[in-house]
Amino acid sequence: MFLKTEALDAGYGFLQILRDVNICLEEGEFSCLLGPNGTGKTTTLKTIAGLIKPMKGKVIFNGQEIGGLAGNKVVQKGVVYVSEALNLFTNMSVHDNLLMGAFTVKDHEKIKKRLDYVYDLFQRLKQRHGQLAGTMSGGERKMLAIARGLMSYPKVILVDEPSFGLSPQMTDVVFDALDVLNREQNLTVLVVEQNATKTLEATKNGYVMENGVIVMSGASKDLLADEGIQKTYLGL
Amino acid sequence: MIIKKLVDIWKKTGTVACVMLLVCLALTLGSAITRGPYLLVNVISAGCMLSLVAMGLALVFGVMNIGMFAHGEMFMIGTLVAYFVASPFQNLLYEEHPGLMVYLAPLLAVLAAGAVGFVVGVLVELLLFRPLRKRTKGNWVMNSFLLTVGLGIILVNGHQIIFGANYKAITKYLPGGAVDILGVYVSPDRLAAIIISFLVVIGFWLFMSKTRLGTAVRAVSQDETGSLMVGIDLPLIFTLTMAISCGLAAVAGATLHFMYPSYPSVGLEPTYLSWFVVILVGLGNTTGAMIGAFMVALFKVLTVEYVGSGWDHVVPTALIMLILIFKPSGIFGSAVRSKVDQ
Repeated sequence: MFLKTEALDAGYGFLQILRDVNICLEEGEFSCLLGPNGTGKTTTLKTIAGLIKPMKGKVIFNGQEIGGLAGNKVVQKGVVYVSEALNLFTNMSVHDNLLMGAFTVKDHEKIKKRLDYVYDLFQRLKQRHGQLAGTMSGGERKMLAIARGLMSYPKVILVDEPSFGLSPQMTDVVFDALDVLNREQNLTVLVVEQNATKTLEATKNGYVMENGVIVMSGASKDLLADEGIQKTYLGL
Repeated sequence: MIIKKLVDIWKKTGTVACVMLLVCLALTLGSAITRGPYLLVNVISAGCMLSLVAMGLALVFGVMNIGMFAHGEMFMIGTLVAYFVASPFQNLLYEEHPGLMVYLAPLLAVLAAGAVGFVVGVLVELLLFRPLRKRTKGNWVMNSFLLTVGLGIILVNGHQIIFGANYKAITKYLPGGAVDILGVYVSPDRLAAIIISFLVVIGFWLFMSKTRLGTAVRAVSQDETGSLMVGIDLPLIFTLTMAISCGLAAVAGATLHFMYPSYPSVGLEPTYLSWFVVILVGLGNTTGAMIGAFMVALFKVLTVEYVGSGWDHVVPTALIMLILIFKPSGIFGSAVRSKVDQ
């Protein structure tokens, strides 16, 4: 197992959200975590990324326990989180945002190489490299957030709601980029989504969460064909 | 081409800020021409010193969201350290052949004050704000503000208990008579203070814009969670920010020790003045604080010149209140930024 959570409980203060969450990701796997609003999908990602301390259970990455580490340590290990709020540095240029993304990388050559790769992947960012991040459109900011995440040479990227607030075309661009990263860089990707059809078509494996519990998991195409899923999420 | 660039700057800084800057510039030039260029020298010397204190205050607010009301007490610590380092060498100053030590002692005093301020800043963060941050969920601004007020009271009274309430002063730092600049006689101490604060401000600016840690500090001031997500060690940056801010205030105290003897409540005036500055330009804006420091210095100098020296706090405060009524976010305020943040 590359990244897995073992009987993970987490929440905010006294409020427990996650109950006994077990997720297993193989290296280079493109998976998704689906579920309705307020079921703990984001909490799961935040706990893995070190923004929330788990109440119980373990997060294991590459054989090492990373549950409870501070967020910056988790990034150093190679797990990057792209939040729904994006958390960009709005008063810095696109270029500076990307350089901040490479904060954990010390080698200037490596940073430059990665910058070229990221600019190549998202042409739009290259055109706007001098613009302040806060003045860009929603889609561009989403690209920038993902690009910034990529700058630290992560092995796993956790993306929260890549389609949120985006037009269908822009959503395609973002998903295509994630797909390219997954295939070319052997990057392990876990996306959290509400847009179930699109996500299940793009990913290989999926987990379905309800009220903080994983209720179903399996290959994405099986989930897509599942009657319960179709009824609840796809409106068929 | 030049006009286009000017328009760009205008748009970037905002109309209110540009108008204010132009008015200030006109006031400075006008008064300098009608009353003599010594006003200009006074504004520069007062502004340099004030910017040291105000920038630290703005930094702490911008990065850590703390309304620091013990900032003047760091200034007080600076004067105290300077007194104990520099006064043993004071009798050397008036001997026939003052040695190298006479020049070295003031420098040593400033450096020691900076170092002590830095350490105090680290301690304050580790012992006070870090535990508070762990326990506070909401209401951080209020809680931390109250904590700084308490800290200020403790430091003032601590000074009084340990070192007494009397004035601990040196007569001057450097030997030699006043230097004639533009018809105004400036003491070498004042000149040195201007140069030191100038160098420190430049050093601070270089640190913030060119170094890895400096950019991390800027990043944290813009988005804490985002900083954590790119791998910045938040507790380290908080500690560093507090340390730098306290260090700057202490350096200012040590540099100005020839004007401000060390006594328990010497920090009151720097606290108020730097809060004027920070409120005037908009909270948490360090570059703005530097410019604002010169504005407040200008208000002060002009008031002393035209109204009378007893009014030197009244008129600037009244002006700041007026400006805030029309632009509550401060003249370089974050109205645009918060809009952009959405």
